[in-house]
Amino acid sequence: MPIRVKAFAASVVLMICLVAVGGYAYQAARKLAEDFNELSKRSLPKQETISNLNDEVIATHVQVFRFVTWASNGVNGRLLKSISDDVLADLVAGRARFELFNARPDLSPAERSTMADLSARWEKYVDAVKDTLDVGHTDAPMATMMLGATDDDFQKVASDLARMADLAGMQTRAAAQEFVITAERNREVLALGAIAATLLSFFVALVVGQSIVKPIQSVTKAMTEVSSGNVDFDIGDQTRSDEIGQMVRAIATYRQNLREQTLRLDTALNNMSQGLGMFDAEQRVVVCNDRFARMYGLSPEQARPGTTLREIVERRIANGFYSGENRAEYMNQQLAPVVSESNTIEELSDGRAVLISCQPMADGGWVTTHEDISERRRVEKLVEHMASHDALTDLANRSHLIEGLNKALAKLPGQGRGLAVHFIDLDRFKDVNDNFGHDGGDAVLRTFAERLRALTRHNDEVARLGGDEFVVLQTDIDGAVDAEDFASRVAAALSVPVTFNSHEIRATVSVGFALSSADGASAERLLKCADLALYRAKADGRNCVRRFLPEMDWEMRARVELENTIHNAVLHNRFVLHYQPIFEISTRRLLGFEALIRLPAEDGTMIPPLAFIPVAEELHLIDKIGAWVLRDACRTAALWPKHLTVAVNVSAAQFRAGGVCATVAAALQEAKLDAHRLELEITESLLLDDSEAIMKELRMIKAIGVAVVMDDFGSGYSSLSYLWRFPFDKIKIDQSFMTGLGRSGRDAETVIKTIIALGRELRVHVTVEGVETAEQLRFIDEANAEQAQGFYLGRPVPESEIAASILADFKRASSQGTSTLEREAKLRIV
Amino acid sequence: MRNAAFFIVFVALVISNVPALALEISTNEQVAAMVHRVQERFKKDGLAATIEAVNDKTTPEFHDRDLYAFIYNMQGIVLANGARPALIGKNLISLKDQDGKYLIQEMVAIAAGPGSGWVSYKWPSPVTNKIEDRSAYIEKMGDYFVGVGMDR
Repeated sequence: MPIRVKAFAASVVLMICLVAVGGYAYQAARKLAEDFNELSKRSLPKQETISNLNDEVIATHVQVFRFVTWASNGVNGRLLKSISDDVLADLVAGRARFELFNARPDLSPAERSTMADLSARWEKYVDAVKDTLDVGHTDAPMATMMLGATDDDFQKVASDLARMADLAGMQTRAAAQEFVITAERNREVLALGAIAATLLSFFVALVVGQSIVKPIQSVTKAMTEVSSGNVDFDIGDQTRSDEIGQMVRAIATYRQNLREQTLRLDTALNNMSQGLGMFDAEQRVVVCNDRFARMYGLSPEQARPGTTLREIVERRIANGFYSGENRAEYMNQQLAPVVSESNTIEELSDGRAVLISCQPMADGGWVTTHEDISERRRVEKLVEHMASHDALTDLANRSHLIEGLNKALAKLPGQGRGLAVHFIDLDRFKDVNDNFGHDGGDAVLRTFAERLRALTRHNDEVARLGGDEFVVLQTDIDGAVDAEDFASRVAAALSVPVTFNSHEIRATVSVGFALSSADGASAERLLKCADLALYRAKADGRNCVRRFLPEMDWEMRARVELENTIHNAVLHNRFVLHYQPIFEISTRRLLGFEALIRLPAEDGTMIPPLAFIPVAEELHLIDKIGAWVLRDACRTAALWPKHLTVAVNVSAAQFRAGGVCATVAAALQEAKLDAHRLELEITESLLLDDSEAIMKELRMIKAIGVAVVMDDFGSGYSSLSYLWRFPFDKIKIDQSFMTGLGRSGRDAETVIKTIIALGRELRVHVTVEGVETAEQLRFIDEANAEQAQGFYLGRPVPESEIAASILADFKRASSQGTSTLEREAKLRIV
Repeated sequence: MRNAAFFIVFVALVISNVPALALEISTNEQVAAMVHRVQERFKKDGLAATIEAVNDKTTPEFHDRDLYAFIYNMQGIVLANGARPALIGKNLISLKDQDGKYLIQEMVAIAAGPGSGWVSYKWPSPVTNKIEDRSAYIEKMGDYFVGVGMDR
């Protein structure tokens, strides 16, 4: 039953009690008022009437006595008659009064009966009085005698009257008594009612209290238990249907949640990777997980809630898990109050490192987490090592080297001694890889790393920058001699053959070094200098040691400048083509032009191809440049008379990049130029690689109608053999032969004549390049050379000046037959 | 009580007013004889004549000094009284003397019981006309009783 209903029922019961007691009191008061009314209006007047009757009867009786006295004393008859008349009148009046009284409606049966007796006795008395009076008139003594009986009768009347008075008085008393009794009874009833109501109220309160207060007390107890974190207790009757039942069920639900939360919290705490401890303001354990205990060799019992921090630290020290030398100091340090958030790392005596975080709480306690970071540190160190070292050789990498170098440089001013940076590069490492595979290459690199480590001292650093490049940071040296000596020892040590799979791998190294004392104070600068020195060593034929010299720096700067110029030129199409005419010697007629690329420098001068093409090749820009040259040359040639050809140089690098044929076809297509008007000039170095892919490309180019020309023929090692490997359309004799003409006996002359003859035999056109003088022209004329090209015949000119050359050629054609000298003169004009 | 006190005072007053009398002593035999005379008369003449004779003061056989006869019926009504005619017709059954003796009732009792006997009481003497100690002899007479009193 809901408490609401109980309370309502209780108040209804109390109200009924109140109404009952109050109603009774009201009724009682009314009854009392009635009784009082009865008493005052009826009983008392009746009594008064009776009293009056009595008085009158006595008065009559006294008159009788007076009559007899007077009669006895001989009073005369007239007076006696007067008294006896009065008496008789009184007797009649008395009867009337009794009758009147008897007619009252409020007489009780007893009164009525008494009144009946009284009337009878009155009559008897009246008779007696009459007799007495009668006798008295004549016989006084006898009247006196009769007086006794008359008085008896009177006494009877009087006694009846007294009885009436008694009855009336009794009635009054009864009424009064009833009044009193009623009042008394009312008082008692009211008192009893009040007591009963009080008892009932008390009982109701007790019952309601029992059914409300007791469960509420148990609910309160349950809530106290819950709030103190205890979840194992008797929760009481959950099946009650009232509000208390709801409360109990709510608490049960809460307790269930609390249980789950506690379970989760315990699970979470005990599955944490960190040790966690929560302490209160008195430095006692509030919560402590298993890991915390395990970390310091404590049993769960030794770390249970309530344990003091002092006890825990004492046990830790006893178990040997503390840091520092002084135990007392450690204890003080641990017991110091936690006032601010802190993170500290303790190096425990057993070698572990523990990260301890402390977080103060508002109530004066704190939470602390202890994390064993030994493993993390080990991994971090490993990662750090891996990040700064080369996996193959376990040598430092570039960043670590630079770091070490910077540190070493920072120490220099104080120590006064210098250091050297050695750049070491394996000569032809590619060959090692090609011959012995990458395993062989790796074996060499590892062996070299060991040897380098063996050569260096403690403070020195050995690094591998990738590929076959090593760097040694040599510290604490007196000067260039020490560095030079060390570099030589390195070169010697590394030239010892490496044994790999029962093979002996021989490799040499080039070394470039730079000195901090002479060449620079920054790591970048020293590395750059050493690199430049190495570059020089390589350039000087490898397997040698070079010290950095300032001019290398200039070269390097020039090169950097050139690289920038090339990059910008590609980006902004800054290249220009100059065209050098090619003539048929016998007719002195123009055959076409060779397109020669020029790179305008910042200062307006033109950079020659020999200066920038190798650099462009290294920058891997040559295929882009080559494609542009093809497109631009074809576009220009398309404007020329149709019998003129244009020759374009294609480098080996372009072929290695691939797609030359497609680029050529696209350029022809774009310029709408006939394929046979285009000649591609390749150098014999292209054929050195003996690549089938390149041969295939060349055949495709030839197949679409483009002529393939062997350029600089004779400058290489085995030029002749190439002539049979590919059906060239034309051979251009290297200009070095023309330069050598007339200087070194007749060798050049013979070679030129032989090549011309060879070309004729092979039915291949031959062009002589580098014709710069009239003598040279005369010589090739006499040697029956077919075509010629050179400054004497025509310098390379910009596109805009080509028109003049072509015009001059037409004029020359129209005046055939002029003298050779004149022709020569005219040719020079061009 | 008030009435009783009043009565005693009154009786004292009455007695003090009675003048002293010279008493003639009658005998019991004289009394009985007079009773017997009344009986005889009753037997002879009947009640009415007897009553008349008794009441008639001139009749000597029923009046002798302090002696006189009286006749009551059994209810106490005075039928005849030789000394006090005022009483004739009066019912004196409840009469009592100064000592409180219900003398008439005693007489009725004797008449109803033994039929004859003596009764002593106080009563106005016919001689002194004052209340004196008297004795009367009573006898049943038919449905009545007859008595003769004398001073003592």
